[in-house]
Amino acid sequence: MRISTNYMYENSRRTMQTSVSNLVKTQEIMASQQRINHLSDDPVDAGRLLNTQGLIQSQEQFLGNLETGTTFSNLYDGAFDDMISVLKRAKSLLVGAANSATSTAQTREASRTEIVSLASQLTVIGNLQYSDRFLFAGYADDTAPFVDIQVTANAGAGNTGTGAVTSQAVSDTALVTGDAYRISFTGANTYDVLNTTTGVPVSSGNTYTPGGNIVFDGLMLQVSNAPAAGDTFDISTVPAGTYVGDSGVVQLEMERDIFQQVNYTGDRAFLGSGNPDGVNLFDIFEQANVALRNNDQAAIQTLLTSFDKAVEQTSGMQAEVGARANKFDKATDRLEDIKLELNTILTKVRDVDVTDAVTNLNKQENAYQAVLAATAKVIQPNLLDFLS
Amino acid sequence: MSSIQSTLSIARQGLMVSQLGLHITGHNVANVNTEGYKRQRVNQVNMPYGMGVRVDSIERTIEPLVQKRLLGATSSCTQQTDRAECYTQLEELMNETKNRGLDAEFNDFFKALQDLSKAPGGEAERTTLRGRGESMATVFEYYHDQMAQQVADQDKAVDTHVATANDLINRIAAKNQAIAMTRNDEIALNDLYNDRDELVRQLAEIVPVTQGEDERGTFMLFVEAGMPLVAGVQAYQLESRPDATDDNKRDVYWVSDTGAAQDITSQMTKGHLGAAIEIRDKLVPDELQKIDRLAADFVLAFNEQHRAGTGLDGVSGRNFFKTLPVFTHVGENSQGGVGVLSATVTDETQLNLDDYEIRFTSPTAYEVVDTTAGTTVTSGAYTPGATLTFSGMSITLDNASGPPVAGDYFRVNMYENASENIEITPELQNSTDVIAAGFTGQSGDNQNALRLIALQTQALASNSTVSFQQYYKTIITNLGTEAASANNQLDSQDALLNQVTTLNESVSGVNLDEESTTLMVYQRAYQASAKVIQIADDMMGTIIDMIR
Repeated sequence: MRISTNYMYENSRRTMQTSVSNLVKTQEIMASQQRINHLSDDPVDAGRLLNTQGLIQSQEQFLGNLETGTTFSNLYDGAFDDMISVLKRAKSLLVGAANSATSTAQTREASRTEIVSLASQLTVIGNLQYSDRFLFAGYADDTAPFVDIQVTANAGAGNTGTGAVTSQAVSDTALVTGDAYRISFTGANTYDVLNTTTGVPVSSGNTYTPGGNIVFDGLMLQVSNAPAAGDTFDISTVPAGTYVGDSGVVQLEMERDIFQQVNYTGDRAFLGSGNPDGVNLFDIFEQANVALRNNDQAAIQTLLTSFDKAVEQTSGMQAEVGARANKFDKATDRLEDIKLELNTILTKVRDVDVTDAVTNLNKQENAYQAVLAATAKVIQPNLLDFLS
Repeated sequence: MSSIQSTLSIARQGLMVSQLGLHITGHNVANVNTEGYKRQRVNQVNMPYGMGVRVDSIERTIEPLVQKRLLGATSSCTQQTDRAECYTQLEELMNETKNRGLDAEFNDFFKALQDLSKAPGGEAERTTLRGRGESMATVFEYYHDQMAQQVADQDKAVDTHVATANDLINRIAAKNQAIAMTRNDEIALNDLYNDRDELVRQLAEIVPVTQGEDERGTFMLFVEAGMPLVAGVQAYQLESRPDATDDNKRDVYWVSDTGAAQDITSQMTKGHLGAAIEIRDKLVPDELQKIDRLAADFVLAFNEQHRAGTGLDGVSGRNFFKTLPVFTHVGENSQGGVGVLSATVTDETQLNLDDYEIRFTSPTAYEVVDTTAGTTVTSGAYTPGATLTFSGMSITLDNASGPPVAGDYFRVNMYENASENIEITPELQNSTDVIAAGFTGQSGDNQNALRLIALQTQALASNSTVSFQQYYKTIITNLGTEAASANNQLDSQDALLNQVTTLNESVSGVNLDEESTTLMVYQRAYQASAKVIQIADDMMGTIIDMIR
């Protein structure tokens, strides 16, 4: 075939171009250490690469969920621990108080004081918080699910004076009965206090000073301004342990489409709801409170089984939470295994075989040098060089 | 009987021919690097005995078949180059193997949802989710903008290519004019032919052309299987005009000598123009439509589940992403003057991604057809200002510039431009309380968050056949395959062009060694003829000396 000079140059240029572009491609692979740098390099494997990356990311997400689950389990486990020791302490107090030989009204009153403080400890446990969330509140986790004793005061409907309750509070938790009371003004400066639950007057003929403290049965109120004779104020208390949360079940996705409850709601953990034999912990503490106050040995005796049941109920939940934590651990192990496997696949699909790449690079470098040398040889000679 | 005079005359002719040979060879050498130059050679013939030699012709060495193949290969090669370039751009835009793209955005968005499910009342988690939503919308919009830009660029390129083609067409006609006036100067003529061939080749880069002659031997140049571009000295112009129903598209028109224009866009199958039109009308819009559909599927499904939940402020039934606008566009070749006054969504629960057409069966009657399902949705009498409500959409039409003509139609759907319009609602922009993580509105309620998470793996995209991310992966792996195949096609077209060029060069190209040899041949011939003259002169001298 006839070869034109132009074609010779053009052909050399093309060969060099191809050689260089191969070299650059290999260089890109070497630099990125990735086999696939463009979708078109290997469309099928590019898809696999993305799928694997996505899977790894979701495994990581589920591992994160499991970690949260484990944290929650630990927190509940601790809370149940605390509850059990509170219950056990209460029971041992009651066992002592039930012993007619060693217990007197006085020792029972001392025990009662401690029982009341244990009950309020129970409230504290029920209001356990983790990163500003109340763990026992169900969905309403932004408000404390258990309220402590609360005192409310309402002015009577037919009051004619200007008197008003300006403050109400508990002055001594141990003395609080949970009963309702009425303060009735018999004159502008005198008042009576009546326990409306029992119908027993608490005190009468007291002298009223505006803004002065009115104290009875562990409660303390202040009434100001000028009440008229016949005015009344109704006082009531909400006992400790009233649950204001809900029974919302908080779940987490621990693996794709596998959901696991991670929370305990206060009504189940403390009030025994949802369980036909459930024990309301606050109720039995209140019963113990009443029994001890009344120095009622028989009642104290019967309460012992209730406390046993309560411990049993709480231990049951603790075992459950342990099983839950175990489940999270197992799942974590499994997901870590899967993640490892996926990473191996990812490496296979994505990463470059360095030996291969280096060999390729050397081959192409050699080829390029050969092309250059050949081009130099081809282009150099010219007939004119040989004519003198 | 020979005379010294005639010997001198023969030698003189030999000198002249050798000189011309040297001249032509010099011309070849000089043009060794001229684009499109074809080597010439002197054909000499012997005269009757005693009369020496004469030049028969100065010939351009060409192979007409190769020339023809070269035009076709050139058009195909430029087209494939442009297509491959377009795919490279698209591929780089969605190169998830290197950069963060939509797939990563989807992953992060659902990760933020998982985090929200762990702390449904958390302000940080809510803000993150909102941010992820915004970021995903931004990436969707970026994809849309880049592809829209590509479409706009190609549309502008149509203008440029038409202008360049017209210039070439005019120059080819001008060359024909010059050829017609240069009847006798073969060297000049050959150069004009070379120039014309090169111009035609350049035109072939833009428009697919076929070259030929009519029955009287007049040079003719056609758009491949189409209208004439050059007929002898007559040049026909191309024109780019905005499409009748789409201002963003320019069509290619052919203008006859009477000034009548004809739409020949469909004849632009190869070359730069063919590629520009294919990229603008098909390649990029196809990819864009897939991304639009993904965006629309996602917005509809996510909003639907989000509306089922309740925000922290206790309000339910709100969207996460803004309701997508209804897309309407006047149908191609519609004649009447009806315009869309407004198009709104009336019932989000009824929306779907089907294609709808509002067709005018007569100037006073319309029907709405779901072209995806192939069913008539509704029909009725048309009065200007009428509001048509169907499939959750409400469209008001009026006679903006005249009544409708039977056969006119409007395209209506929910997905076109969705990737451009996806954004979070202003309410959510103002307050993260809008995020409906639960059903009760309580801060610890994550029930709806769990249901939103489930959307990640549910088959909700592409007519509810695959998940969003699977659909996206299908889009990009298909794109990768298309890009790979475009590169392969380019390689093979390039090889073909190279082969034809090689063939062409081997016939017409200049080889310096060959020319050097030819130079020597003519030089020797010249020297020999000179010697003849010298000897004849000596002989004349001898005779003159004899006489003295």
